[in-house]
Amino acid sequence: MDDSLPPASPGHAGAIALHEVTKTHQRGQTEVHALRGVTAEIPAGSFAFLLGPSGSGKSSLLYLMGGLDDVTGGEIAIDGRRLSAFTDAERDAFRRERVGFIFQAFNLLGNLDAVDNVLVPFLPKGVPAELRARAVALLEQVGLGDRLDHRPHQLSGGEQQRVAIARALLKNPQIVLADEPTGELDTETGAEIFAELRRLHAAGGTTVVVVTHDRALVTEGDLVFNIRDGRIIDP
Amino acid sequence: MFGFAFRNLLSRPARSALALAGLTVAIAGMVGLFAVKGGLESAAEDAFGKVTGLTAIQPGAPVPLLSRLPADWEAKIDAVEGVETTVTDVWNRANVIEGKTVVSPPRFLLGTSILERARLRNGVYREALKQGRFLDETDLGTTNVYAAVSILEEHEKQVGDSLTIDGVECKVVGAYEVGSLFLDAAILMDLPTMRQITRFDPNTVSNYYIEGDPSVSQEVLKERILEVLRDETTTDWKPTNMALLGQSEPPFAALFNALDAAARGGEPPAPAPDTRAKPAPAAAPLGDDGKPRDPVELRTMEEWLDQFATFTADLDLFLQILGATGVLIAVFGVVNTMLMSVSERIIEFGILKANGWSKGDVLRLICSESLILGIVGGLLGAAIGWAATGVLNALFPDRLNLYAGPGLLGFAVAFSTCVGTLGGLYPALWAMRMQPMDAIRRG
Repeated sequence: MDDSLPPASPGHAGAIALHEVTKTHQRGQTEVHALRGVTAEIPAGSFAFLLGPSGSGKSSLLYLMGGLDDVTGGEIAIDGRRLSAFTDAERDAFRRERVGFIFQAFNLLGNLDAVDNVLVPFLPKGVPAELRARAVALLEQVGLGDRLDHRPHQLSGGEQQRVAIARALLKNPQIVLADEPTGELDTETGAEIFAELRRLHAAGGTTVVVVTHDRALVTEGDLVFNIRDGRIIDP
Repeated sequence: MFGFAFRNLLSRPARSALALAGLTVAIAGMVGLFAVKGGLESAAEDAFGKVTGLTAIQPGAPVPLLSRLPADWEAKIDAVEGVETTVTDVWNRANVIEGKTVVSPPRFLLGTSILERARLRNGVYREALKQGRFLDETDLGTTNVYAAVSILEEHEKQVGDSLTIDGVECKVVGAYEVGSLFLDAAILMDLPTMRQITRFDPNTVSNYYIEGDPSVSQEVLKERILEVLRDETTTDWKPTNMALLGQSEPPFAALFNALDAAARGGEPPAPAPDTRAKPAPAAAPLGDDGKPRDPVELRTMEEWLDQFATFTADLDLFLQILGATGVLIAVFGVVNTMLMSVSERIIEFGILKANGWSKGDVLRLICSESLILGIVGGLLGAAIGWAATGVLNALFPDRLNLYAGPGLLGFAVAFSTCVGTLGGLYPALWAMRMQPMDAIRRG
């Protein structure tokens, strides 16, 4: 079965549109309204920030954009196509081929070395030699050329996050979704990692959406959405 | 995928080892249990495969030891066209050998018509000669015996020694070894001598062993013999009135008498004469279906095997229940291991799904892990079970004949593989149903 997505419209690859998005979590008997009607446009190739305090709903919004969760109401469209219309296979392919995730806690797999962690999205389908070579090249690019066969517990926090970045970039993603990518790193390492993201964005024109509460990371030209209590508010 | 699954198992060595141990023990136990049945079948095939002639026994009797037939049929059977040799046999248990009460393994006395038995083209005992010589005309009317090597070894005797059987001193003239647990348990001697030793009813025998002309099929031979014996009268063997005990004695009287005699070191009492075997009614008896009933059963090698299969059917059921119980416990062990493993790794599955793994991919990963457990557990269990049967056979050569053949071992590995895979299925289904974000949040 061909479960790949239809090609994105030229010039619009990675565009994200949010329309009245709501998300409600059920915690026991209590309903938690994480998002209360978010509408926004993130043009393809932009570097966007979701800023807000803890519990504001920014991470929930990020994961909804990546198809990791389902909206309770409203719509999210990627390059004009509604995520809710994706089949399971299309959604898997979307995550495998078009979206790269970078998590605050790195989320590497402890049993795999750095190269295999980068190759994780492609393990079930088989890893051809050229893909493995690309994974090695990406790890060398992020400064881990001498750590290829190291497992996560043998790597520092900064090195683990670099592996996660290499994993997100291996697929040449149209969209990179990063959830507090420097949250677990010291200031210096965090700055290096963020510089890496900037460099890769500049080189590839990928749409990058970063969740953070650190306004200092924002530079001129970035798209910023301030989120509070599940809504986008004016800065 | 398999490499990843293998590394996942290695990363939890204690848990994987325990699941593997549970499965290995269950499979080894299953191999051991079915090796009992395999051994019995193998022994039966070994034994009956060498019995190429027809055996005439009392209708319904499971074995010659319990059969009683009139003693005057030899000449009638011998006269049937196509019959080459008719051997008259009398079987009894040896109760005391060399002052030791024989309980397990059982030993049997076979009183046989020596000259006829020596004439057989395929004489299973004669051809299995290991030391000395087979019985011949010089042994007629003597207490000379031809015994299984295992019996002689048990009592540290050899050819030329005397062997005291049920209080009678006999001389060992030869020793045989067939290689079958069933056949290597007899002491052959002259029929009249055996009757005297055991006080066996002179009017009855246990069976007739008939060897026919090879050009005549056994079916034709059976028909001809039955035709000759059609008017003879016998009673069917019934388990409730075992011929060995006799009708006049209360149940277990013979057993108590034997125990008493053994305790006193004297001769065991002989069984009471079998009065039922006397021909009485004039008309040919009818069977349950109203048709004339055969006075004798003529069994070929295949029929002996069929009969044996009937006896072992209950054993088979029992072994299956025991085996299923062990395997069920092993399945729970695998399910438990995989469930715990999966619940510990929920975040990992969330990560995999976030990276584009489909539900099917997650299912395959978890099932691959349990499949590996199943294959390795099956191989280890089959190997241990096989080795254990060999060790037990070597330790108890006279009492055990366990047989774990390639079929059983292959089945054990295949079965364990299926069990392992199925054990991982439920945890895998549970994991694959989770949304990636739910999984990551739970983690």
